[in-house]
Amino acid sequence: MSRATSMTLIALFLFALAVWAAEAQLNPFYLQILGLLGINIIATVSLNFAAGFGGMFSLGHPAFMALGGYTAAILTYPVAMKGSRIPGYPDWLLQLQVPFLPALLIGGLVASVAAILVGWPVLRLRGHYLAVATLGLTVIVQVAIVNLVDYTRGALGLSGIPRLAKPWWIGGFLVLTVFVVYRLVHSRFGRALRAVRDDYVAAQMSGVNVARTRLIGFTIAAFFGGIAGGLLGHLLRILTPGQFSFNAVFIGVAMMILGGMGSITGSIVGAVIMTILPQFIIPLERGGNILGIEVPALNGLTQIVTALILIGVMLVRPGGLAGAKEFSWRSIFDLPRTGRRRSSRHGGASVDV
Amino acid sequence: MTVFSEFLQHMANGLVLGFLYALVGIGLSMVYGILRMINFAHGEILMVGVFLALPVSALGAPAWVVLLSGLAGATLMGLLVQWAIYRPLLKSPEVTLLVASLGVSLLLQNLVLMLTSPQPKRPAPAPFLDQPFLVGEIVLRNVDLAIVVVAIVATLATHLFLKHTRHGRALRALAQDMSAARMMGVNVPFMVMVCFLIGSALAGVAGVLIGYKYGHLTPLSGFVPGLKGFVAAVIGGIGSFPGAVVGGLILGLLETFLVGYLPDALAQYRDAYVFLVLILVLLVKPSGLFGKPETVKV
Amino acid sequence: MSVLTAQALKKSFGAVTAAADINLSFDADTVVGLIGANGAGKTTLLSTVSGIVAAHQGQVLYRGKEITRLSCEQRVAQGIVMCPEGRRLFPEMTVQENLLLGAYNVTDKTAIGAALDRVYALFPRIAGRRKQLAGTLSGGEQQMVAIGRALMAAPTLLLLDEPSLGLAPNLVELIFETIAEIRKLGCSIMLVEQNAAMALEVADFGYVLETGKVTVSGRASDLKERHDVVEAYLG
Repeated sequence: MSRATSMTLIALFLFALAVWAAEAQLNPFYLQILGLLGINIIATVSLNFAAGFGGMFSLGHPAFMALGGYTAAILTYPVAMKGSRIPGYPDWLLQLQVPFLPALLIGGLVASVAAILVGWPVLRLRGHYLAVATLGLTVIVQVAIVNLVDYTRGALGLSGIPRLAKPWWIGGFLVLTVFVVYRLVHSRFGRALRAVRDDYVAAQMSGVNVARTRLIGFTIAAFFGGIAGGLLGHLLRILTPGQFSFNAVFIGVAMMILGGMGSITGSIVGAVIMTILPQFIIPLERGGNILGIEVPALNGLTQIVTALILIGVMLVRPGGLAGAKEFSWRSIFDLPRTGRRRSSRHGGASVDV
Repeated sequence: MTVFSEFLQHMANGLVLGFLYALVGIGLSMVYGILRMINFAHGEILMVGVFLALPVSALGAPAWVVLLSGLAGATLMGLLVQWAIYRPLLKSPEVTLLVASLGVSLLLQNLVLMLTSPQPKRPAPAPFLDQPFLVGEIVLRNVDLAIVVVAIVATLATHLFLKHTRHGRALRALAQDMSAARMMGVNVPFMVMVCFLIGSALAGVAGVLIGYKYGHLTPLSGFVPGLKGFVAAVIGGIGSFPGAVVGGLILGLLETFLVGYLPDALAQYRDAYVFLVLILVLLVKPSGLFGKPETVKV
Repeated sequence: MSVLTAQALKKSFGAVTAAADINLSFDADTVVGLIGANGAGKTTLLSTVSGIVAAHQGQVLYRGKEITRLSCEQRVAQGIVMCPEGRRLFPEMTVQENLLLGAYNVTDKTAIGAALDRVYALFPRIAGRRKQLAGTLSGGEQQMVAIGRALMAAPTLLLLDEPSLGLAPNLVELIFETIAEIRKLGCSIMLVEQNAAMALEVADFGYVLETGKVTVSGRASDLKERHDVVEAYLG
């Protein structure tokens, strides 16, 4: 096998080691943050697949996360509580309690179906029209969750979700998501997707079915978004409509563009920064005594920092931290190219016709 | 109340709401017409305008002074945002401007949140505006009448500006063919500023009127009117000034009738309906009523 | 004194060099014709003179002053006005509104009124259509409005890009007669034309552009006789 593959396997092994060590050693608070980090990476990488690689700037990702999250939570919800908390469902559902993995996958599936239904008409729209239409989706889903109290417990939120999202699950799905997206991007489908992004007329003339390519890309992104939502619910043990509101849209966009649209590495970097950074800011928000200085309560500081990042990145470095560059073992170790030549080449925005 | 007079009541309410949407939509439409960007922060400029007018109101100023302060506050904010953030990004791709305006929206909401107390605010009561105003069986308040009058005056003034002044003509020309307008000696950055000035001023006016009518102002109060103003602009044909006016009225009527006639259980989804309308319009006739068939679709 | 001088003008669009090294100069009250094949760089040259496009290298001097760094709007104020290829009228505005836009920089109401009268006198055919939407006019009428619009700013250097494009022969005649009239108003004209014969007929001087460079230049009457020019462009 090639050097790059063996390096990747070593990295995976080290990652697994890290997850095991974290689970054994870290206190729950830090474990939770790492869990959130993993979920944010999944969400951002999947969003970037549609927005960065596919050119479909969607503000509807929180909606898919919500759909996936609530679906998975409802399926794993203890039967004993279902009847009282979320009575709206038919009896067979109320008697059902599904293990974690199938519940997650079904959640992802529900998100995918929604993506197909919504995407088929809406993906025809251009740029900012698509953005507003998908933002509308987020609003509609959120409003629906708030009002369908018998099915979701409304604004109060669905609490009491079993804590099933152990670090292994999150780590595992993280690796899966990154792996799948990476392989897709560098596949024939990925090239077609990027071709559609760059010049859809030229893509059509090369025989690419533009509408179907976009829809597939959009749906795959939604699937992993739904998974992320499912993991979120089972990590925090509670889901509320507020988690999938405009705020979620802003933070999601910030993570993606900070890292750089069109770069998987960038999405990971962006997610890491935007997950860790607020942890330092939140104490400032509460105010009080910090490092010996009296600080007043600064409400909304996290969002202000997010906003400044959004604006700042656009003004100074719109490509984000990573631009369109991807991490590669070659660039670190300056390895010679060994092994068989692969048919799929390295990233970038070029089109192979 | 008879069925007919109930209908008329909804009609009246809808028109009042519609005029508010029109005021918000005009600014969005004009900016889109020239810059081809959707200013997500338009609603926040509205909100900043009315928040800046609140202290004026607290000092006991008459309502029209408060209105003018809101106008001035929003205009200043709009010009500042345009100068600091949108102007440097004039030549950037669509997505960049979109993300930047999202950032501005978030920033303004939270700056105001941070600097003010959490309770909802309202302008100091203006008894005159709260007086009932009756037309036959239709019940309105003076504030509703004020909304209609102010909106008509503002819209008319904007129309006259666009039609009969050289800068107004230049603005219209810019929206039709930017390159050719430059060849006439039109200074694009200056015109963009004028465009933002008008749009923000109208938004500020709308903000103060909303404050007097509903009285429940929070830093988030601009977001929904901003989005609905956008929907109004799309219905009428984004980029078109008469379109924004007509679109606003249509949306106001639509929303009021839906909420008025649907059973309560469905009526609470009112914000979702507005978005459904938007998506429908974008799919069926994206250029709206008065717009040119521009490439909205990929 | 020369009204326009271009020195070592270079302009590329990405990997394509549209203007490689252009040098030319002419005096006031002249009509200069630029001829050459498609893609030779004629429109690029006009665009760099008008300021719509910035040259990468080289200088443009107008009446002795360097204007290379000036923006399009500033050059219009100086008296350089472009009438672009394809007319580029504002389709949803009336003829009158289009003309008034030409006078955007002029604040004196009487001057604008006088300019309007001049244009309508020059093109009586559009005088009767002043309230009509520009997008609904015929090609010839649109060209008249386009030229008229450029004249509203009382230019001293008028840049005309392919005015005869798509017009019937009798209208082409009319346009070129008008060009002669315009020169009488004290305006120099830089004319880009596919129709080389007509261009050299009305021009005093001519420049032949090939792949971004001036290859032949001289008095128009001389160029008309030159063997190579006749072969390539007048045959």
